[in-house]
Amino acid sequence: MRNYVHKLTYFSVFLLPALFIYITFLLYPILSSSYYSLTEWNGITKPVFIGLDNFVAFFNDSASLKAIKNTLLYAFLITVIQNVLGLLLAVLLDMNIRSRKVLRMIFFTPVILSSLVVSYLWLRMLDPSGVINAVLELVHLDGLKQVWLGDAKMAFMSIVVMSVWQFIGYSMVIYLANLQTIPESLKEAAAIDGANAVQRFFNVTFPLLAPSLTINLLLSAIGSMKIFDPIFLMTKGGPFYATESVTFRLFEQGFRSNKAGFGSATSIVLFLLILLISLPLLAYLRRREMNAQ
Amino acid sequence: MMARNRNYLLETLLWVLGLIYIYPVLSMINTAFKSAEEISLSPLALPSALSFANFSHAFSEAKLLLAFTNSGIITAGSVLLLVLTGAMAAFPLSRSDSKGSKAIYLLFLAGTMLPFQMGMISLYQVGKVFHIVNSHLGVMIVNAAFNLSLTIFLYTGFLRTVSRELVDAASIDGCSIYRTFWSILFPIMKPVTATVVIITSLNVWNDFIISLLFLQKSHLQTINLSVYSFVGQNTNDWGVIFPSLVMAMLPILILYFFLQSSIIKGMASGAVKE
Repeated sequence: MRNYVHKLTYFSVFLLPALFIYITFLLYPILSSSYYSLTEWNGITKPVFIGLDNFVAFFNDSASLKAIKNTLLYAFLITVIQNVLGLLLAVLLDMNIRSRKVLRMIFFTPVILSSLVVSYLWLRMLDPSGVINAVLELVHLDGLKQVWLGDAKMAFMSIVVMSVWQFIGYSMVIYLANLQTIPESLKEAAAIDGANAVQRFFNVTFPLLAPSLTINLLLSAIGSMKIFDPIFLMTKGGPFYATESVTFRLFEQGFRSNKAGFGSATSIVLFLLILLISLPLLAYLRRREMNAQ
Repeated sequence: MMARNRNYLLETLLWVLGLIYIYPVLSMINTAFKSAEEISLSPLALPSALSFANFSHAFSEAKLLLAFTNSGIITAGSVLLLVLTGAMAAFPLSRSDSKGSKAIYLLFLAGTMLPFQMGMISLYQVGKVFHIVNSHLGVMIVNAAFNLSLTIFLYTGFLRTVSRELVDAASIDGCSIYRTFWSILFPIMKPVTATVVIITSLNVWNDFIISLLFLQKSHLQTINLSVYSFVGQNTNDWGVIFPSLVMAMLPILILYFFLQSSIIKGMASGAVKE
């Protein structure tokens, strides 16, 4: 009994500071949004319970639906492009190249920069009198010059490209860590059997990359569904809602328009959307990992 | 011989790709040293003369020195808070196999799954209740809360590899569990503490949204925030914006230059969750 009390005391002493910070400033705010989503609330006065009205309003609001569509498209494009290119880079930089360490460092650099720096950097690149248009002029492709962020489709793709640019290196190092666990002997055995490099990759290497594929796909899918900073800093959701994501809309509604209840409902929709995408994805990828073993 | 030639070809190709890839960063540094005229007339050229005028202007206009200090204080405070609370919490979580301790561990890990934007609105309310809006302490605590999952994950993983005999032997010697932790275990945890410090300082230094939410007074603002409000006032005045951007990323680039392999390894290990 004394032992038990002793154990309980030291457990509490060690755990309580972290638990307090974590629950008060992360878990509680997140969970309480499920209550606020059922209220009409301006963020200042007392919330008034209104049932599911915010959700009804959300699904009748064309701007909100547009934000969902945009978010899903962001997530799909960013996840696919980032993983294809990240994997390709990882495979190339896993080869026997002298300067591969420096090259890895170069491709990883954007990951460590803040989203604010990266957003402004790209804002300048994409400026009508900026670097990208200047390069196009230099190579006599003047016809391709654009007001990149002024056109709906181009603005959307610009956000995708800059987001991929920032995080390719992250996917790359996760694939690299996995690649380094694959024994050379396996690839050599396949080479002796007469398989060429591409066959070796798809038949030997790729199945063994299942664990890093799972992590990377989930990280980039969940991460890109939460995309906020570049939109807030570069396009403000425009032109005409073309680049608005759910998180951007939630921020605008909750803070700028003082519709905290509606904003909370938006956040619940986002959460459900993330679950809806990531849980089946996780289940599928886990099954794939099992089969690979 | 052929294989070697092929590798040289590949290496050259990768270098070309790499330089194009990193060009935006190089061009930012290049732009920061140019005069306003050069920036608009020849965006691609190197500066005709190194001009530090932009930098001194940015330092006085954007109050960069103050913002630097603020970012430094906030980063140091959050990281200290994370190391102390995270290392402590990981100790019982790594030693007990009880259901309760497993549940608490999962509770901590759940934080990485939940979109924090969900909590932004009520987080601000919580901040008001605790009177930490517009204070550095508030931003430190919230940054700590956002990074605790990762910190506890790293510490618990490490402590599970430390033998139990070590702790038991110390307690037989009459060492209290608290002294055992601080004087025996905590020093052993140095390598993982280094990883935690590196990754979380990057996260906190780079944070934008938490400080945007919590710090409205200009004398409290972080480097990212002051660049943000500076850009708001000087739209398209790139000659002034770029030096402040360069200053915002400089400490990180320097850190990266010296600690690249531990940063890359640390960030990869933070991602690989069971």
